[in-house]
Amino acid sequence: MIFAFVLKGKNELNSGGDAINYVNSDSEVIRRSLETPAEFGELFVRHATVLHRYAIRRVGGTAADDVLSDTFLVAFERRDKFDPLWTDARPWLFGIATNLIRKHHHDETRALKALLATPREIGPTDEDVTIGRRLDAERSVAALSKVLRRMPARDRDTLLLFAWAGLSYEEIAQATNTIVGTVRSRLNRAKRTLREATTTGAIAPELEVPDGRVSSVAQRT
Amino acid sequence: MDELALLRSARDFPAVPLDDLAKNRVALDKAISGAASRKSAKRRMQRRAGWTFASVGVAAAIAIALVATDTIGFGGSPVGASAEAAEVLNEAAQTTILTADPIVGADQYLRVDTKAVSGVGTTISGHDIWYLALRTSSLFVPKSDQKSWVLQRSSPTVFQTFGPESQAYASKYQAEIVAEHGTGGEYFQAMNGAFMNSRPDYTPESLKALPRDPQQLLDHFYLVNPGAGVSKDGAAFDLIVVVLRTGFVPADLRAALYKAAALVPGVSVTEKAATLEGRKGISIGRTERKTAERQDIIIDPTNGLVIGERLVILNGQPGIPAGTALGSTSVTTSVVDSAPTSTPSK
Repeated sequence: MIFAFVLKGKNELNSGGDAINYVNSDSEVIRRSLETPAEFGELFVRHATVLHRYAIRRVGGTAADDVLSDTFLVAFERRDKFDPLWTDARPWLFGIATNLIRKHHHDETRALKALLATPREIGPTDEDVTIGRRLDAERSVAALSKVLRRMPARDRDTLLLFAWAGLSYEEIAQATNTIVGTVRSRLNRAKRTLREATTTGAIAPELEVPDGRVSSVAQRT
Repeated sequence: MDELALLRSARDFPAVPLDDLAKNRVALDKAISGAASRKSAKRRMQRRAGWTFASVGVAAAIAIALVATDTIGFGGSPVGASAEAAEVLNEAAQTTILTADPIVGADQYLRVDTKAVSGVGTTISGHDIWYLALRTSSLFVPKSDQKSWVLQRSSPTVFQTFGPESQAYASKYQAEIVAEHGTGGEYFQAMNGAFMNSRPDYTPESLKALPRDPQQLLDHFYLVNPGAGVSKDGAAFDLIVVVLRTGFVPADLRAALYKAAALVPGVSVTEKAATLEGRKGISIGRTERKTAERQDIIIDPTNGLVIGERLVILNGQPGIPAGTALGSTSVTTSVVDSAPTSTPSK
């Protein structure tokens, strides 16, 4: 594990081209950008697509554009604070994006409500989904939408960084500036809440609280 | 489809190609060119002053060395539960095998009554607020696989609050629940317990397939849930608890589950005289150091039956005081001739 870490920190061999090229780690790109700011543009090329996809899922298209722009702006301004131990900048960038998404909570609520309007079907294929199963699937998605909206913000961020951004526990800990134990705890709690809602339809009424956030029922089975 | 798979598939959009994101790069490029011009001005000044910068790379190398030192060395894992816990569990296994299982007739139902306390949380102005809600439920499991399972659940009520903010939130939330749903509770009906199109973790039928040899049973739990979310041992112990709290575990499997729990490292007696819902028993638990949470299972030593389980938050978390049982479930079972066809009238 330790060796892998050190090796990742060095330049990695890119075998994608005809010639042998050495690709700098994100950490190296950021280090260079301290001296040559234009180098930072490389991070946009590497990570903009995945960050944008994550932001769209959380806040919808319009707000996602803002989140993406602001994420790279904030990251650039704070690049001297980047921890050189993090060879991969994704957790750092997702952390910045997640904080920015908090400012778009109205857009997030709207995006999650959109789940209700256009429920996805679950099940093997359309042909296999009977009407009953389709209804159940829609109810599951409805429960999912509500429970996500009601979940405490920290738990929701952790859950969605895991499920939608695909970050590992360690990366989520980096992104949310906390320890892995806390990530595990939040994720367990969120998964338990999710399971309860989607398996037994714990659809409690939605409550809008003063700052526009919504409440959550973390029911255990 | 499990809940995480459902979540992963929700709101999934194809990635927007990089070229189409160019407009989102304008602000960054502007900042870069601004910094570049400031940089060249600064460089000119530095040259005059004759400054030099320490290499960031050196700092990185030192930091990597520190991390390497920190991560080296894992302790050997202890074998099995504490001697005291193993004794309690093995005795419970001996006792429980003598306790007769309820006999469910071909047209009858096994009724599992559960009282569950759960955390209800929200975030207001950036900080978390929690309170504990109580909810009772009755699950009716038919002997016949031609009949539907039925789940009746009460509306949640306030069980415990933590200070004025928690109290205010609980009152407001409860009022909303009553205003929108009344106090009648919920009613679900589904074949094979597949409420909301989601299969239950275990059914009386699927429990038949679990090994009765304690070591094989434990190996099975290690295999099906290899440390998902918590440590390997914690995940296995959690699964033992999940099976036990279903309420329909036959005596031979219950005995095997106790013996399997006695083999899990870190399991100990956490309270000799524990009380859950007025029933007294011995609490056997395991602390997950990484999350500072303790999962307990409470066993009635007189008959070896499970009274319930609880999850204790040891160090406290935002909005949750240390030592709080964030979740607990007490379980009782009985045999009934019929299942209800609507929500309870209360």
